[in-house]
Amino acid sequence: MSDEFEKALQRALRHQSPGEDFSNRVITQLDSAAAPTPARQRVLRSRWLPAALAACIIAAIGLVQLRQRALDAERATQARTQLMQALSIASDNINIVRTAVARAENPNS
Amino acid sequence: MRLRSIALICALLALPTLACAAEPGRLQLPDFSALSKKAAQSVDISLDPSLLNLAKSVGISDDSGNGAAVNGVIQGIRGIYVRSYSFDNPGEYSKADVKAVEAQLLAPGWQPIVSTHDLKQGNNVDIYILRNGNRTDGVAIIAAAPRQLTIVNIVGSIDLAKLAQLQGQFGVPRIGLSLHGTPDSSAATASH
Amino acid sequence: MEADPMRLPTAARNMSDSTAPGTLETAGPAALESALARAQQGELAAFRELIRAHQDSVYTLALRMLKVPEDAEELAQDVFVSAHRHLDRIASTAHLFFWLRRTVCHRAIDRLRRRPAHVPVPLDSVAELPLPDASHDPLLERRLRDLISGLPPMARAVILLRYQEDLDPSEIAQTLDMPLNTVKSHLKRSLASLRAGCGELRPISAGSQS
Repeated sequence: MSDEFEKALQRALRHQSPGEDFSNRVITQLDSAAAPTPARQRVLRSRWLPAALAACIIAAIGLVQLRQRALDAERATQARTQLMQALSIASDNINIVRTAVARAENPNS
Repeated sequence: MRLRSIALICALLALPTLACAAEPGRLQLPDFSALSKKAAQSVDISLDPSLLNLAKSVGISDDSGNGAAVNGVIQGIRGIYVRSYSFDNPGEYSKADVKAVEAQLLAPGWQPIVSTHDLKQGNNVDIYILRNGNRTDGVAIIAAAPRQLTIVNIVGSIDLAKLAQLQGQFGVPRIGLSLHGTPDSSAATASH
Repeated sequence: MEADPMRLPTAARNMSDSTAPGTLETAGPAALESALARAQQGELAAFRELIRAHQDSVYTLALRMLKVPEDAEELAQDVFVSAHRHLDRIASTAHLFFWLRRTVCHRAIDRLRRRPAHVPVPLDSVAELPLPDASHDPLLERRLRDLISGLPPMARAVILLRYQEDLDPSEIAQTLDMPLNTVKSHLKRSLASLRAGCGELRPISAGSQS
């Protein structure tokens, strides 16, 4: 085997840099995976508490309904995505078998 | 005592039938949480009838916009369950993990319809269906390779040929896990 | 199927850091061993040193396997994140060298298998920086890279590990979980194919007339 050819191969395959910031991008991924979600608490005291409470309850009921609808829509979207993914995996595996069967039946093709 | 023993035996014999009657075509998939922790990538999907209907309600289309083809394929499905794991190294799962599923496919009604075994690469795919007269009540696909394990259980009836034709048209990101034969895997054998 | 996935292979055990290419961009062997120890204690700055030492190699392997820079970047990041998760099972910097190359090759091959057939890769997405060294033949090298990108995934991985990462065939066999004879077969066939594909673009040698 030609040494010159192999040297040309090594030159052709010299390393490339992913950029100066690559290590920072990896570290950022590690940081975001480890960071806990901060908890926030708020305490409200007011002499208008009863009215405020009533308004809050009414608003909360409306928000709950809105949120429930949003959650249902999100669940449906997630379910659809999962369904597509499941079908894709099943389809891929069926095609593996089809390809193998075709090869076995036509070994010269 | 003897009567009790006979009753117990009859009850045990009836269990598989009862399970099938409860949801024909549905396999009891093992708890693979240990495998999931070791996997580089994992897919865990359980769409029972209610979630499936939710998915259908959103409106389904494939990449070409031809949702009718996909809708046609899923029309008869009542549930779909996928457990798929990809590992960085071979040997991360054992045959015992697969045996628990394969044992259920020995129950009456389940028949293997096609399988492929790549002796060189160690890749195996087996497809079973559950027949009830002329009706298909379930499909099971088990794909095992040294660094991947995929189990798919479809409850209900589905046209496998049409599903195969829709490959690549489901518009999902590249995280689906499945074996693919490579051009090098010339040692693959298939059996019907 | 029951092999210990984190078993340190003979190649990595025998490899000294001074012979491991692509690991010395920013620090010497002793510094890298120290960085590994500190990273295993949880020090992110130390892990950053390890990333910098191996990033060119990991990224270039991913790029030449997947051919799309965005995919290569994603895979390279993924490999380092995974390495961080498995740091406690890395025995030495030589082991890390082996682990990174093995993981990027396996994952790249998995991704290529999942990729739909005949996905066109735009020529301008395979960016190559100009090499200023006058002793090289850019036409030949470009041709070689194009030919290598057309090899089947496993053969491509073998060629890259041999000529980009400077592993010997037994090390390649352990990296790819492949019999040694299969590695040698891939090398022989691929080199023949590359030579045939280069045609009259002969390599330049010192003192030779082109």
